[in-house]
Amino acid sequence: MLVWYRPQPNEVNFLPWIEGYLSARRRKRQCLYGSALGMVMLSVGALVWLYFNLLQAQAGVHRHMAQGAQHLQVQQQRWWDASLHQRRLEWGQVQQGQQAFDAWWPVHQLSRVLITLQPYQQLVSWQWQSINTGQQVVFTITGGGRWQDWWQRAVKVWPSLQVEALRPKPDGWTLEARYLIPALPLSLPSKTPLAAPPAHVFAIQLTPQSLSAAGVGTKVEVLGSMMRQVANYGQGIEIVRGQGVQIKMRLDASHWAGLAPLPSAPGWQLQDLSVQQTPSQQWLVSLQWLPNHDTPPSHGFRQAPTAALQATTYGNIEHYAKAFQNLPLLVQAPLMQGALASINPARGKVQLAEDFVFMGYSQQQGQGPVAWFKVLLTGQLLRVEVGHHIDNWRVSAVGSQGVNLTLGQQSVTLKHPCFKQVCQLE
Amino acid sequence: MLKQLTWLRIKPLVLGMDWQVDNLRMVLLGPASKGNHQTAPKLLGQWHWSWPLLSANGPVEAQPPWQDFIAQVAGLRAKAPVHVNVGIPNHLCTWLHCPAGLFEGRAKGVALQLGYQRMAAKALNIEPANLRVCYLQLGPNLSFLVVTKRHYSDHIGQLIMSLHDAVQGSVVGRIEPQGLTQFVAPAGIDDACAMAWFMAHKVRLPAC
Repeated sequence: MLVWYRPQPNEVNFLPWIEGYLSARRRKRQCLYGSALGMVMLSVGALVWLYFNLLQAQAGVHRHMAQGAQHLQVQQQRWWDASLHQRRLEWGQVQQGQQAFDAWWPVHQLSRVLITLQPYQQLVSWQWQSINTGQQVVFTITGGGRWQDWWQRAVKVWPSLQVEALRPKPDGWTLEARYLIPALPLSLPSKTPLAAPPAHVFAIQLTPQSLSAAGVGTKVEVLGSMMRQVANYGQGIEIVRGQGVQIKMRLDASHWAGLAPLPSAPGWQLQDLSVQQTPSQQWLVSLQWLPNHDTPPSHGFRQAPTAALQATTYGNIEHYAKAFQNLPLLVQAPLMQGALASINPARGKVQLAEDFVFMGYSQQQGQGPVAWFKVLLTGQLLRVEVGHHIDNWRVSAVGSQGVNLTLGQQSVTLKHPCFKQVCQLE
Repeated sequence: MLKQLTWLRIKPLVLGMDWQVDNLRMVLLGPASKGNHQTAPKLLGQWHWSWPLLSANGPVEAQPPWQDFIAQVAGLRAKAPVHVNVGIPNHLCTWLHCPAGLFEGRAKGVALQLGYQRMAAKALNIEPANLRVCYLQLGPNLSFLVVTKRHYSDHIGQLIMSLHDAVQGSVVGRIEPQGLTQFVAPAGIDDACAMAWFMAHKVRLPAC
């Protein structure tokens, strides 16, 4: 290797050291560039190698996942097929439980209404209906005394109870009420035979054989079974076949308890159950079933009622039946025919004072005085002037202290209610 | 690389040359003896030839005396690198005063060297390509451009390259003006070869 000495600032070298120096720098620079290029090429090559390895790994993972999913699908299908017998057994048990529940549930609701009645109150009519949003119970009772007492007891039992009509009677009142039993969706347990195998795992979709499929012949047998159950109610049963099946019968009060369990059969769903009082000692009972088209009930599956619940239901009904036999009929046939609506006698003094509360008084210049009543039954405000009539009572005078109403020779003054317990004693 | 590292451990030889155009004197010094760094370098040989180096009788490296010299040096070096320092007479060099900061901040590297060369060529009215210029800074505000003709250095460069081709080893070449130094040659050195010895002795070898 021949090099020319590179002189220090205080030295001299005439030989071509500058050319050698530049050549060395050029070689060093080329070496540096070559190294950088080599590193870049190596890096690119490494990245490409890594990318292709990642692609291969990804393809391998996909392949393994596909094989695993296929294996799982096969295993799941085998398990599903193998459990067909067990699922049919469980499905039968679930259906039996649901039938038992359906057979007891409406009668149990009837018993709950009956147990709320006092000895001087009677059931006039009761109807249970299955509607889209759940179940609806409409009933009419009659009684004497204060209806508010019964109402307070009933509201504790059914918070959603609503008054449809409240009509006076010469010896009491008639009240029609309604409450809803919402359809609460019940989550099926994982072991329920209707629960399909998990479909979200690797998007496996299984189409197991329908468990609830039933042929026409089966439906006929089921209907015959239900008719045999209906025959247990006794003679004189009227059966109407249309889209569904409807039966009407008259039951003595002593046979009320025999209503439960109601006839039930797979494929048929009880749509309506009504009980109406008749002028005789018998009750008109009507039941209606509709085919449920193999669809599970919207409120999910229920378990069969316990023996305690059945005993309670029986006890409530028998208790009322015994009390009913010892009581005279308070409601006669005209009540059933809607004659009650025309009975609307004038209220007495005491009842008028209980139903209306004098709330205020106003008078504008050039106009007559105006009084305001609150109707306790509905909570509405009523505006009255002199000359108006309230339940045949004529408003004779309106003042700041109260309102005077007259009916023939009778007269009553409605004053401010005593809210603060410091009112003057009359 | 290992070969280079091995050479670094071998102490180099220094060849001092006194070139007087028609006379060439050379002194070859070797490293001092082991354990005695204070002693002078070992004299390995001294040569003197008298012939017109710049004559047109063919290339110098082809002359028999030069071939004999190369053969002797090749036998003495034993793979050691050779540092060659050639001194040329002062009358072959021109010293030009270079004002301080003339090219400061305007050029560096090759451009700066070209600037020096053009400045010297303008001052001497010679083609820049025919000059060898070296910037010499003797003090903070005292700088010179030492100039010589290119064909002097080219001839000496050919001698050094022929030496490198012959010894097949590491050779470092250097050529500089001899200056006006006068000194006494040590014992064992001919008085005529005193300048060659001085050129060899002034080379600062790396410490081993």
